[in-house]
Amino acid sequence: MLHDFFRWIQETLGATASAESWSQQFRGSLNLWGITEGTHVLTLMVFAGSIWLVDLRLMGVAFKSTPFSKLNDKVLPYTVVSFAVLIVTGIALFLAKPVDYYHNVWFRAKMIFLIIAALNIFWFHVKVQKNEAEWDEADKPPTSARLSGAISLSSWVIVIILGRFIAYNWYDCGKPLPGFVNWFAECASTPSGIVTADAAPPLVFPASGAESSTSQLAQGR
Amino acid sequence: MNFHAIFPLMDPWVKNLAFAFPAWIVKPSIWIFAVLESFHLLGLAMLGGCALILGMRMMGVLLSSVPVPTVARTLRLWFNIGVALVLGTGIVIGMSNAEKLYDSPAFLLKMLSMFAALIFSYGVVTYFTNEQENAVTPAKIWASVAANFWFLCALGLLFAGHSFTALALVLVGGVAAAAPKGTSRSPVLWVLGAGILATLAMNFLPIPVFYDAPKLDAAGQPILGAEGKPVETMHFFWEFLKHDTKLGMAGFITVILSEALRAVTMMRIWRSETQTEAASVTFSFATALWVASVWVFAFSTGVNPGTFHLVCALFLVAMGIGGFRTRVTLGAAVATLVVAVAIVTYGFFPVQEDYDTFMSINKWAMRVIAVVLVAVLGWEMFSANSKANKDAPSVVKLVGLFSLLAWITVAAGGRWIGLS
Repeated sequence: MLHDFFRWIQETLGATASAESWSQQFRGSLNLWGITEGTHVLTLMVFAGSIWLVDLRLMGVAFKSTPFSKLNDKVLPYTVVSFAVLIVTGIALFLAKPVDYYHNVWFRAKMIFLIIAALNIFWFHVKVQKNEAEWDEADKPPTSARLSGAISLSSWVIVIILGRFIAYNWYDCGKPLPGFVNWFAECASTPSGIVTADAAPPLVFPASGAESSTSQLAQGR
Repeated sequence: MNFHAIFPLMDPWVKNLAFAFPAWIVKPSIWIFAVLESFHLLGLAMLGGCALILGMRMMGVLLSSVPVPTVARTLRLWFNIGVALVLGTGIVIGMSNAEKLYDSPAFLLKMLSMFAALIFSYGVVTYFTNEQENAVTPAKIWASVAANFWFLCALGLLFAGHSFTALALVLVGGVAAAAPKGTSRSPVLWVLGAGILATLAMNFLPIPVFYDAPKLDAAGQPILGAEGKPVETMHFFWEFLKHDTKLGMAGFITVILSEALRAVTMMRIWRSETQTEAASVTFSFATALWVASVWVFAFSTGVNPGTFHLVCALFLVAMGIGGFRTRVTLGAAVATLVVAVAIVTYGFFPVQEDYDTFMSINKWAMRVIAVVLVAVLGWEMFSANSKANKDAPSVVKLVGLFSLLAWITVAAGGRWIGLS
């Protein structure tokens, strides 16, 4: 169902007799896509850099002499604002090729680790931070806090690595892939036995530039 | 402008890089290359976070209850890890991609801003964040490195045939070297800026001798290449002396001047009684290098949309360090301009189909925003009435700002290697 929805966004939404869909227009734009992508990557520096330093404090590795709350309160606004920018630019970039990303192994793995990171934040706020006053000034916060810091740090590292890998088309649908990859990426079977993200015949549009998503993938933007 | 245009003689060496160790292993393996790129990004995020926190702390807006030296000392290790990751992976990635980077203006500006950022972070920031006034600071060493690097650039340009650019560079470097005691409020920065503008102006003048000289035949007429353009050739300065008096003189003067200025600068640095004096030389050189990188960024076709990131960073920093009034004024000004551009573009004059008009509107909007932001930041740095001024001395704030912006330029330039 999501596949069809994303396909509708990618190929139909905003398309007229004389123009491509909004998604395709954005992807083919002269500079807008590049600026959005650049902003996504540069904001990552602010976001990851700031959250890692708080994580390191939480793990009792850096800023030991500074109370955790002091560091957190001051750095958190940077983390929150940059995260908002990351989400907005990230969604925009996703909408440039939603079908392709939806069936991208790395993208799916990245989403899983994003969820892990989010759950960790939730756990931290609800459980760990409850008795923050007790360990606020401690060199070495309690195990739960250190664990939370370590989970956060490593999950964001993995998210960045996976995010970088999205650009590579090693595991795209339609390639000879192990079964579990086809299962994980929800690649569909075709009668000819080839596994592809687009099992259904391509929709017909009046717009001239409607390319199949597989050919887009091969370009490996 | 790119490395190929500046150092064309390096061509065979660059072509061979991909076949040298370890690039010949990395290049064919897409896996190793991808992993290296990921770690390049991780390193950039690590050092970016450190540069941001230290830069904002130096500007007096973040962690203001923790002393600057403490922040600097704590961040040092993680910053070093980030730099080591970025440089280590970057060299291998660069070797594997050497031919592409050789022709990329984005790579040239990334290297310029990287040297500026390294000199800022390890030379200038270290000095201003030192705990003890008389500790063995590396200020003198870094001042020498910066000064030597500057003249090496000039000499490199000279040998590549850009005599007049090299001469201008030497003059700019000389002004920077002559930085009087004290840093921030001295007129040296303004003179330095004027020098850089003069260099840029020289490059824009439509006089061919300012770039590579056209190759001449026996009759003294330019030899035309396949596309009907004059074949440009490189000259070494002794060849200028033989063939072209004007260029020859420029080359000769450049060599004499650069060596003389370098000797004077070195003497000044090593005889300087205070570390501040040495630090001011370092600061001036690093600033000039960074401004040069921004210039390449702004005037290279295909790469210049990336300056959007720099302008954004300026805007965010100004919003971060400004008081309430500054934030409201700046926010309103930028919003007005954005709306005005949108109306002009899509409303009254639908220029979507007219590429040139569209581009020039965008460019001018960007320039206006940049000028407004520089003015606001200048006011925040130096005015006694600004909010940020109470927390830190102007010069410390300026060093924090420039070092942060230099690293942002490195990252933005790096991203636009791939996008341009």
